[in-house]
Order: sequence, then structure tokens, then C-alpha cells
Amino acid sequence: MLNYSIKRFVYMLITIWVIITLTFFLMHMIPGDPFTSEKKVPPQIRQNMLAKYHLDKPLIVQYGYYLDNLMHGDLGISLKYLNRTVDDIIKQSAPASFQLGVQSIFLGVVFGLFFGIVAALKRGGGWDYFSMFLAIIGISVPNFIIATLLQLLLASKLKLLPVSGWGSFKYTILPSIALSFATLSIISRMMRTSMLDVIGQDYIKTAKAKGLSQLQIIWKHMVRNAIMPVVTVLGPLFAGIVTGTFVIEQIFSIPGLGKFFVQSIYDEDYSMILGTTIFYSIILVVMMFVVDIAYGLIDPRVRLAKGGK
Amino acid sequence: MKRKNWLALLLTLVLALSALLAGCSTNNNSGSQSKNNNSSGTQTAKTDEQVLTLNLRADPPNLNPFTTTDVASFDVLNDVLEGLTRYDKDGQLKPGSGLAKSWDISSDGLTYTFHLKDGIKWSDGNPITAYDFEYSWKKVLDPKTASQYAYQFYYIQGAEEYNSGKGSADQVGIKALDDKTLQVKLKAPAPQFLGLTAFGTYLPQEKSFVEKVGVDKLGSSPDTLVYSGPFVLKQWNHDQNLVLEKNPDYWDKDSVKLQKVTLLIIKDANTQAQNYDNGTLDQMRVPSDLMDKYKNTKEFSIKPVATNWYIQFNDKKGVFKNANIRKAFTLAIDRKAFTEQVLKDGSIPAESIVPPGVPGYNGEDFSKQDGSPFFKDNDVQAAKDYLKKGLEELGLKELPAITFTADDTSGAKKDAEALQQMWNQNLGVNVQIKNEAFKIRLDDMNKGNFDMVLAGWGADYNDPMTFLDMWETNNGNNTAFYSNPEYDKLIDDAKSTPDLKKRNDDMIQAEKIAMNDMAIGPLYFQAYALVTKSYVKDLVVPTFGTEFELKWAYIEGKNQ
Repeated sequence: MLNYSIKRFVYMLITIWVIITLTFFLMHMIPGDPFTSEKKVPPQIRQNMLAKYHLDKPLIVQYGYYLDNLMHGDLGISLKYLNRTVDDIIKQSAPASFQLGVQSIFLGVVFGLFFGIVAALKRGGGWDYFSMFLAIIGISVPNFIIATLLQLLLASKLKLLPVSGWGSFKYTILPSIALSFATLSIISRMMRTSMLDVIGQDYIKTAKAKGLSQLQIIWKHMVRNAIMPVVTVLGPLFAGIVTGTFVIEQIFSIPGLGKFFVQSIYDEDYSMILGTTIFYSIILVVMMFVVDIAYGLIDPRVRLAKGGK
Repeated sequence: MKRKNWLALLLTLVLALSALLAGCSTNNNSGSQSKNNNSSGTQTAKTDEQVLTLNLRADPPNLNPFTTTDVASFDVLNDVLEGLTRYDKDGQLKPGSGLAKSWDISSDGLTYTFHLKDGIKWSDGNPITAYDFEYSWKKVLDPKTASQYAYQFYYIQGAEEYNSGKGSADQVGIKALDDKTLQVKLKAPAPQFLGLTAFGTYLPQEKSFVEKVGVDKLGSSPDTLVYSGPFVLKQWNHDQNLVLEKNPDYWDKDSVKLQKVTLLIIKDANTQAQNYDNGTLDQMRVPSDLMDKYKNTKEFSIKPVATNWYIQFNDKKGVFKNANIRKAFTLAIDRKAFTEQVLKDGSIPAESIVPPGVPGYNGEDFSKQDGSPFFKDNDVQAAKDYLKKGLEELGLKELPAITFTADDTSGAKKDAEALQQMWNQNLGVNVQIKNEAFKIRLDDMNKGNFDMVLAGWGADYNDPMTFLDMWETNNGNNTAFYSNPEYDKLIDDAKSTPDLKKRNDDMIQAEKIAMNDMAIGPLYFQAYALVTKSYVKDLVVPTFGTEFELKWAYIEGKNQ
């Protein structure tokens, strides 16, 4: 287990290094630079600015600077928010995105599993169609439409919740719900399919023959076997959602990290592009690792296979 | 054991879920209750609470006055800092409107001597002196500060040299003669200089304070700025809001009635409208798709701003080298339909370069002096004739493929498609649209990689020159590559004469020449549609520089 973890950790570092390198050179290929602006700046001023942020050096030297700073945990100064460091921006914006992401994943997973399980058990019945209906809405209706509808109905018309903003728990409810629909749909569909696979297995019959109660069969034999694919998608899904979502955060005016992923590319804010990319990759890679560990916990066969290697 | 674990997990989930749902409902109740309390509380109060909430729409990227360049930051800085001058309610510059009580201008128009008011103080209690101005302005010019807007000081002797590392700070023509007197020497007469002293980059900071905080950290939080304006910045919650409070040390504090101003940061137009409707926001810019909803209300108003939009032709290569082809494409546009049906934001058709509202000689509207309009809108027959003539001159039978570059925002896409359709309908030409991200479009413009571009220009200062000198042959902003020696000469003359009447005449003549050549194809002058709650009084919306001026605003009749 320890050996495996160390090996995985080294792979993780290599993955992240490759991502940084690719991002670094790709983003410099975008035409223009952080200081391209509508009002043309005299060449000497441009020179002053490029020099201050080391952008006048050859690309490979800049790359060296960047890696060196990164080793010291310094992500650099944002080239758009000139007196804020990328570290600060991530530290200040990530918590809101994280809270929103965790809440929406929680809603999505709980309801998704519930609808998926019920739909499989009552296949062809009313619950099945209802969960299908929900899933189709969740997948085919973009979340900003759901968000706007929720906002209009619950906040503007019924005045139950605030329209937008951030602060206390009540501000998080609408965005969490809006964001949870996609997760809910994916998980309920997936859970239904894999439950149906399991239901037909011989060991379910055996369990029934042993005289186990219905609830025991469902939990111990069906769900535990059927949940593996869900756990697999949950890793990347989690990483994607907790690092921030541009649209939902914009609609509800949430001070999250989502906008920086998109806006930094438009602004050609090099340090911010790298910062957000690194942040996302770390969370993603860690989540994949957690998923692997979770496999072992849920399904002993996975652990055995690795031990045998 | 295992089974119990799973059951426990299930139970936890169910519990958590019910707690969450319960949480929702209790929160709702307390939310609506507190709202009720609030309203009943204010109902019993006789006088209006002097608080205002506006939407800033973007988190200020940089509140360092020395280096910032964007509108959101200037909006905030203008409220918390004071320059030598400040534009008053009707957009005029008068002595005593800012920190300078008066000024003398030498007869050659080159030397400005400013006399500061008595008793003016920074928010830390120290007096504001002419030395603070000298220090701040030279800090902007310091190459190490790397200020993008340092060129706003290039009118001053020695400024450009110091900023480009060829001269020293001592050679710059900015000098504090004593605590109260600041002397500035210009390279050439520049009537717009006085207005610039109200502009963001010219807003000073206290020397000792900057030395303590460090130039690079200036304005990174509320306590890394020292205030001199009508308000002080109390809170800055990134991407949420900024809270301003009245500055008790402001020299003109009796004119300031608002006690607290909250600037929210809401980007989504729909969310903004809902916040206006429910009374959270006191004013908003009306998004064009909600125009019909607000257009006929009493709260609606249209505010023109000093920004022009135009078709920028590539005057150097391709078919748009030919002035008649440029004229054909310009005249074939139905601006009235474009502004009323496509933009729908109150913008007005442009048939000249300089927008209305920009002061010319004697402070009168330049657009009333220059003899505009220079052509007839939607003149389809003339456009066809010009096209025919142009093609003959070029020796072509028909136009080659033409691309029209525009931004990739939904608004710009819509605009470009409308124009594409007009050219197709009126001239029978098929234009290919190319939508690009803003910086990529700018890059293509700089490199001359375009046939024509949908482009705009906002005033740097309140003078026609800001719209005219950019089309000089060697101006870095002339990415249309327009070149006419006659035009260049008139602009150069206007820039060097101390005779303001002659300067104005030269600019008028220059604009005529550029329009006769159709250097660019004017499209529209920008305006914003606003809705403002009726209890908000004297909230000034300037035509350029900043989006609002809070100094004189107050609330009256909100609780009736």
C-alpha cells in the first residue's frame, strides 16, 4: 500500500509537470500579450511593463523563472490584478467555490443515488419514468436556465431566498440546487444501469435463497456492487465542480474561482492561467488517487489484485 | 458490521438531507422576518437614510492610482481621491472644484502654476501639500513603476525622457515651489491638460504613506490607500462589494450628503435587473433585451458617453485602399435602423468622428461647430455609385472576398451580422464575418491583419483631439493606416498653437478631410440606457472618465 502510494505520488508530480509545461508554452502562442490594450502604449512604456514582469526574457528563461518560483510555492503576481498575487486570489476565491461545489455534489449524489436505485428496483414503473424525466431535464437543460428559473421563481416572485450574493447559508441554496442537476442526472442514470446489471446476477438469487431481507440484499449485495462506476466518475466530477463554475457563479454573483479559469485566458493573464490550471490539476489528480483508494475500500478484489503485482 | 456501516451511512444521509431541508425553511423565515423588521424600522424613521447601492459590474482590477487603467477602478478612485480639479455637476471645470483653489497659465500656454487650498488633509490627518503631487506624478513616470498610463503625463517637459530611462526625475517639469504651490511646464500648449488633472492617473497619494506601504502594494486593500476625496473606502470584498463611507476630513464635506455607498459586483444582466426590481440596487444600466420593459417608465433615461464606434477599414491594403469603396460601405449602412433595432440602448447614429457633448472652442459643443453630418445616412444610391466608381478605379469587375472582424461577444456578433446583412442588401456584396476574442482582434488590428473591423474609441480626455490625433500617419493608435499629409499638418498645427480659436479651426478642418477621405466609416456614438429610482437625486453620470460621480448625490422621498 505504501509503495503503491509513493509510486502514485511520483506519477502525480510528473503529470502536473507535463500539464504546466504544455500550458505554459500553449498560452504563449495566443496572439497578443497581457498588456495588449485598445489604447496603444508608447514602446518605452511597454518595455517598462514587460521588464517588470520578466516578459522581455526569452520564453525558456521565463519558464525557468516560473518553475523556480513554483518550487518556492510562489504562483506569481496576476498580470490583470496587478497588486494581487495568484496565491491570494485562489485563497480568497476557492472557499466559496468549494462550499458551493460540495453542497451541490452532496445534493446530486444523494438524490442521484436515490432515484437511480429506486428506478432500477421499480423498473418500468412510475418512479423509473420520473427519474428518467429528471435526468433528461438535468442533462439537456443547461444549468444557467435552471438557475435563472429558480432565481425568478423562488427569489423574485416568492421572495423566499436572496436573488444573488454571498454571505450566509441562505445565499448558497439556489446555486447549489441549480448546480446539482447535472450531477444528479449523471449519477441516477449510471446507478440505474449498473443496478440493473447486478439485479440479474446469480448471487442475488443466492442471497434471496439464503433468506436475507430485501433491504439487506439491496444494500449489501446490489448497491455495493453497483456503486463502482459511480465512484469512478465522482472523482473528476468533484474536481470539476469544487474548483468553481463560471456560469452559476456569475448568475448568482458568487465570489468564486470559476471566472478566473475563463477570464484569465481572455486577459492573457499568464500567471493566473497557470495558477488556475495547476490548482485544478492538483485537485483532479488527488481525487483520482482518492477514488483508487476508495475502490479498495469498497471492493476487496481491487486490493488483492494490487497486492499480487 | 459491514451492514451496519451502510445503514449508518444511509441514516446519516437522510438525516443530513432533512437537516438541509429544515435549514432551508428556517432560513427562509428568518430572512423574510428580518426584511419585515427592516422595512417597518425605516417606515417609522422620518428622514431618509443617506445610503446608496450601485452596481460596479466588475471587481476593480487595480486600485493603485499610479498604475490602474480600467473604468471600474477609476470609478472607485474618483470617489475616494481628489485631484487638483474635479468636474462639477454640469461637467465644467472651475477653479476651486478640486484641491487647487486657483491656477495661473502663462501667456505661451506652457507654464501652469497651481495654488492649493488651505486646510486640506489626508485621511490620516496630515496636510496635503504640493510635494505630494510632485512625488506622486514622478512616481507614475518612474520606469520601475511600469505604469501603463504614464503617457498621460507626456505633455510635460522631460516626462517622456524620464519614463523611457533617458532623463532624470529632476529634469521633469513638475516642481513644488512650496507647500501650497505646484508648477508644471508643458512641452507644447495643451488645453486638455487642465482636465487631465481630474483624471485617475493624476490623483495623488501622500509621499510618506507611499514610502511606508510601497508603490507596488498601493491600493491592494482599503488600508493601503490614503484618502482625500468625498468618501473613504471601508471594505473591499473581492467579487462581492466595496463599501464607501463619507470622509469626515474632506475639504468640501458639507456638500456630501450620502453617508454610505455600497458598490455591488453583479455581472449577469438578468440578476442585476432582479436586484433593481426588488430595490437592492438604486440604479442600473438597462441591458438591451430588457429595454422594452423599462423604456416607458419614469425611471428611464439615456446617457450619451464620449465614445464612438466605427468601421475601421484597412486603408493600406486590399480594396479599402480606395476611398470610394470605403464610402460605398459607409453609406450603405442604415444607422437609424441599426441603433434603434439592433443596439436598442439609446446610442445615436454617427455621421462624423467627434461625438456630441465634447467641448470645442469656448466650451460649446464641438459637434455643433464642425459642420457635421458629413454624409447622408443610408444613402443606398450614392453607395452603389461609389462602389461602381471604386471598382473602376481599381480595375476590378467585382469585389474579392472581404472579411469583417468583430469581437466574439454576443453583442458584437449580433452587430456584425446586422451590418453584413445591410451590405448584402444595399450593395449586393457578401462579407464574411470573423469573430475574435478582444485581445486577438487588437493583435490583428495592430498587425494590419484585416479588411475591416468593428472598432470603438473612448475619450482619454474631454477634448476633440482625443478622437482626431489618433488618425495621424505615425500615431500608434492609427491601425487603419490612414495617411494624409494635409491631415497630419493640421493636427500638428493644432497641437502647437497657443491660439485656441485657431486650434479649434484646425481640428474642424482636419475632421472634414478625414471624412472626405472616409478614413474610417462612422457608425454610432455610444449611449447607455439607465434606470434610476426616483428617490435618488443629483447622482451625476459623466460623459467620460468615470461612470458615476457620487459627491453630490442624496436620497430624498424614499420612505414616503
